Amino acid sequence: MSAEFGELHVESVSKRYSGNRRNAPPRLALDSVSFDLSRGGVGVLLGPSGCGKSTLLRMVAGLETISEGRITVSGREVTGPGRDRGMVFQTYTSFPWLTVEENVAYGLRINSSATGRHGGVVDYFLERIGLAPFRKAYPDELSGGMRQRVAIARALANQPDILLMDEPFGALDPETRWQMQELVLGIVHKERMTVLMVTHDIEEAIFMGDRIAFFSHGPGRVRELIEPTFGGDERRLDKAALKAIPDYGVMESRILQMMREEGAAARAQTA
Amino acid sequence: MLRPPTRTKPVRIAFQRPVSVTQRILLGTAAWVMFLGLWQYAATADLAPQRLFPPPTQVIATLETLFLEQGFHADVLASLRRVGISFLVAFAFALPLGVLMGAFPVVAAFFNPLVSPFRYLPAPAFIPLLLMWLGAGDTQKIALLFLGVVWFLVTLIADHVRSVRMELIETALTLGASTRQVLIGVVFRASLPGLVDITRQMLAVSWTYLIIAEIVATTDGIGAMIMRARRFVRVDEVMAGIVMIGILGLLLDLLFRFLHWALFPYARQRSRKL
Ligand SMILES: Nc1ncnc2c1ncn2[C@@H]1O[C@H](COP(=O)(O)OP(=O)(O)OP(=O)(O)O)[C@@H](O)[C@H]1O
Ligand SMILES: [Mg+2]
Repeated sequence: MSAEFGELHVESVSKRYSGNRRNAPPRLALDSVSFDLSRGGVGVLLGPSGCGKSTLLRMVAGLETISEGRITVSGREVTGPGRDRGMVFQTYTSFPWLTVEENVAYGLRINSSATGRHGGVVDYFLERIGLAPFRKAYPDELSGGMRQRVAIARALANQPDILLMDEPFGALDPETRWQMQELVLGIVHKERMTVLMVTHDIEEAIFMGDRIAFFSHGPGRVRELIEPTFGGDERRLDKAALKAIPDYGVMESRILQMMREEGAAARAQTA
Repeated sequence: MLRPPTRTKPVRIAFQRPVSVTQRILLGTAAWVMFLGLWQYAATADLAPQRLFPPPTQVIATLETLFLEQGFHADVLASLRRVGISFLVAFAFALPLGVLMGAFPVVAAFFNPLVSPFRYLPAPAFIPLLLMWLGAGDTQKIALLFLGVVWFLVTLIADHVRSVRMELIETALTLGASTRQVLIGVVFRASLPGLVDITRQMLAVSWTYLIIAEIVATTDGIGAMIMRARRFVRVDEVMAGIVMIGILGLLLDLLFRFLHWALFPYARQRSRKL
C-alpha cells in the first residue's frame, strides 16, 4: 500500500473501555468505525455528546489504546503519541512558565538538537496568528482566544502530518470563534495540512469540513458521511455568503434532524 | 497616619472581601502593638515576679546582651547548620522519590504503603534509637530533623506532582516529547513553584523540631542555650531564645517567598488573582 504524506486511514476501529475506572462494566465506546482523509482534507467529527468523538481523536493521537482495527497516518500505523500528529485540546494547554514565543517553539526545541535554527518558523506562525506583539508575554496575561491561538500555532510550527483538534473553539465567544475558523482554514489550506477536528457546532462543521462524519449514539458508529461540496472553495471566503446558499440550509436542517433523533435515542437508552 | 479623607476607605467585614496592602500592613501592625502592649502591661503590673515574667523590653535587651557579650551567634549558626544540612539531605531524598511517585501511579502503588505509615510516627520517639545508634553528636540531631520532615516531604511532593494537568503532559507527548523530556521539562518544571512553597512550609516544621533535637545532650545551638538558661531560671534568656527562633523562622519564610516571586514571574499574576 502506497500512502501519501498526510493521509489518514481509520479502519474498522473499536474502543472498549474497561469499566474499573468509573465503577461500571466494560463498555463499547466505538464500534467498528472507518474514516479516511487525503492530504489537505479537513475532516469533522460531529454527533451527540458521549458518542465517542474525543475517543476517536485521542486514538488517532495515540493517547488512547486501540481495542480493535487499525489507524494509519502517512502510511505508518499509530501505536503511541508522536510529533507527526499534533493535537489541540479544548482546555488551555499553554505551558505557563514559557512565553508565547517559547510555547510556539516548544516542539521544535525538543525535536532538534540544533537550537536557535528555527527562529524563522516561529516568527512566521506568530505573525500568522497575530501574536507577534505578544511574543514575550506569558500565557496568563492573554485572553482565552489568544491562548488557543498559541496552542494552534505551537501545533502547526511543529509541522505535523495531521492536525487534531478537540472542540478547539468551544470556549470562545462567537466573534472570536468565527475569526479563528477563518484563520485556521487559511493556514491549513496554505500548508496543505490534513486536519481532523471535533465540534458540536453544525455551522462550524459545514464551514470547515470537507468531510463530516456524523456519529450515532453509543456505541459510536458513523451514521452518515456528509461532504459539503456546494459553493466550492468560495464557501470558505464568507460566512454570510455561505449561509445564503440554499444547499446550506438544507444540509443544516438535515444534520439538526439527525441530532434530534440521536438525542431522543440517547434519552430513551438512559431512561 | 494622615491621609486625604477621600481615599480613606473603612475596613468592612464581608466574606472573601479583599483587603488592600495598606490596610493589611496597618491591621498587622495593630495586632502586634496590641500583643506587645498587653505583654508589657502585664509584666510591669506586678502580677508575677518580673524574674519569672519579664516584659518585652527586657527580652530585647537580653537578646542584645546575648549577641554582644555571650557569643550567641555561634549558637544561632550551629542551629541553622543543623536545620540546613538535615533539610538538604531530606529534600535530596524526597525529591526523586516524590516526583516519581507523583508522575507514575505504579511507583506510588509500590512506595505509598511504606511511606504513609511513617508519617504517623512522631520523630521524637526515635530519639532513644538514634542515641544508641549514632551517639549524642550532631549526626543524631541531624537524623532526628531528617526524620521529622522527610516523609511529609515525600507525600507533599508526590501529591503536588500528581496535580500537574494531564493535558499539559499529553500536549508535550503529541509534540514529540520523550518520557524523559516530559518528566523533566513538563512534570517537574510545572511543579517547581509548588516545590518552593513546600520547602518553605516544611522548613517551618523542621524549625519546630530543632529545640527537641537540641534539648538532648547538646552544648551549642539555640535549644541548648535555652536549656542552659532554664537551669539558672533566666526566663529572659529563655524568652530571648524563643524570640530568636521566631525571627529566624520568619526570615526563612520571607526568603522563600521572595525566591518564589523572583524565580517564577509568570506565577505572580495568578497568585494575585486567586
Ligand atoms: N477514560 C474513560 N473510561 C471509561 N469510559 C470512558 C472514558 N473516556 C470516555 N469514556 C466513555 O466513552 C464514551 C465516549 O466518550 P467521548 O469523550 O469520546 O465522547 P464525546 O463524543 O467526545 O462526547 P462530548 O461531545 O461530550 O465531548 C462516553 O460514554 C464516555 O463515558
Ligand atoms: Mg469530547
